[in-house]
Amino acid sequence: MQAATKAENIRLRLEVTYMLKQIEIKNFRSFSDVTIGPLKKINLITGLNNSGKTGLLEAIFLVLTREDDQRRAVRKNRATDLPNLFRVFSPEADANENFWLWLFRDKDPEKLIEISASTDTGLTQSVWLTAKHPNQFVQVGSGAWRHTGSLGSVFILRPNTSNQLPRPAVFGSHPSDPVQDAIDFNRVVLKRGKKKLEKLLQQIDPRVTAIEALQTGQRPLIYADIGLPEMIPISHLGEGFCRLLDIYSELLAGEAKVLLIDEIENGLHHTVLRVVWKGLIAAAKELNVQIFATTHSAETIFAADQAASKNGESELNLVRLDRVNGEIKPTVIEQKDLATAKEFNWELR
Amino acid sequence: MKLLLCEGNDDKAVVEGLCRHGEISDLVIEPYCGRGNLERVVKALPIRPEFTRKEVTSFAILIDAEEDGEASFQKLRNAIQQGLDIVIEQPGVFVGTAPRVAGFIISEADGKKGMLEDLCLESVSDRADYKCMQEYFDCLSKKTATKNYHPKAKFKAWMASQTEYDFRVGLAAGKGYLPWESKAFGPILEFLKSV
Repeated sequence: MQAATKAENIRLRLEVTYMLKQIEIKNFRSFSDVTIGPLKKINLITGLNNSGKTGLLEAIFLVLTREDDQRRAVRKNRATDLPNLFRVFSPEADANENFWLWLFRDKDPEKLIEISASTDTGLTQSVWLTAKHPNQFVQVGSGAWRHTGSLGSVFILRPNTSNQLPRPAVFGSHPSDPVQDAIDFNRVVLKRGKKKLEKLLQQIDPRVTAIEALQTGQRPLIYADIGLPEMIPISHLGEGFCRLLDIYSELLAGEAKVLLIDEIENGLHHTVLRVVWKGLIAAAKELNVQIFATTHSAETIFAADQAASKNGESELNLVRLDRVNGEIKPTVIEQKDLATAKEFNWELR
Repeated sequence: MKLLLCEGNDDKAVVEGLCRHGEISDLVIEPYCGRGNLERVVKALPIRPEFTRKEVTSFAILIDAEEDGEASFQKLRNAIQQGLDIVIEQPGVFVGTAPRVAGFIISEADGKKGMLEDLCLESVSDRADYKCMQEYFDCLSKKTATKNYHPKAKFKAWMASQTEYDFRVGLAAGKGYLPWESKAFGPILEFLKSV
């Protein structure tokens, strides 16, 4: 009985720490000094082009990613991967000059970047990025900060007492690596999630009766059975289908507790958005995963809201980023206001 | 952006007619679909990108006086205060900057009571069809126990005398039945020009 209670307490403690409630960003890209919250299980991020949506995903990624974590990467989850996670960055280009230094607001390395994420239980994880070479330990107030890694000529510092918050998984807007997708799919098979994954994907394309990772050449690829004489490589089923398989695989078998998805509606027809969200939200709730997804689509916003709402309560917030007088201003829109906006046909993006 | 909220689609049609007449082309007119929605709609306005991006330069709300113009103004004032944290002191007078904000009470000439239909009826009160309608209600009042008929009922009776068989104020506005140059529309037209 006591053991059961202890196990339950541990489970509860783990669950509550997985919910980010607030993000604070200073001097990162176009963010001068911004606090975003309260956050919910599902957080849709919208705004005009270049309003900071992808930058917000990058900030969350940086604060949650632990460069000193020696565990084998489940997905690309190292801070040094950032240039190609959400954006397309040429490996030939000078990353320091053309990427890392641009993380500083106005590309001014004198401005210290600070990003903090806090949970609903009050735990906080922070990261500083600085272009000035730090001593191994930096004393700030009563806290000590430690140099934990470098991004080009940019140094990463974290507080010694930093809490281990959930690790993120990233889904950029560009196509994913099909070999990595096959590896991720095999983890789903290993964890007996294959049937569930196939059922979720059947909602997008009812022809799909089975998904398999097969190795017919040097590397494995994912194939789908859609009733043809041969199984078809899933890349032929479209970008939206492949992305969803990727996302569902992470949900069902990954270790990440925060999914960062850029332009989630890419490649998806508006008629499937509701079932997509229904599947995502059900899995996110069951597996205690928090989702941050950018979107330009009103249909996505309302489909997600519909799927996330039950008995007047909602698991979803819409975060809109606006650029006002050169500063990014966040507006967090809750379910009741989303309902009003929908009723009166207001534009919210 | 100049944003004007009005009670319903009929009000919107009348305001659009007045704007055409007054050569006002830069107003965005939206209905809040009944005075019962006023507080909820105004409270949610700050989530709109036009407000957060500070694109709204002028913002105004129309509301019928109904039986009590003062009570309607208080309702409007409270809604604006709760939603936008701006206090308007008197009807038709703008306060603040970026956005300037005002409320306007649609009423009879005395400003104490009335509604959109009263304005519309007043605008045609010198016409034969109006006099016929008025005689009809006078007759009803004499021969029944009912002494006061609702302005909406009177307007519908007047509309029944028009070529197009429809009772809506919006249709009257759209079809050009209402004389926009009437002095009955003077105060609201002046207000619309000031938005």
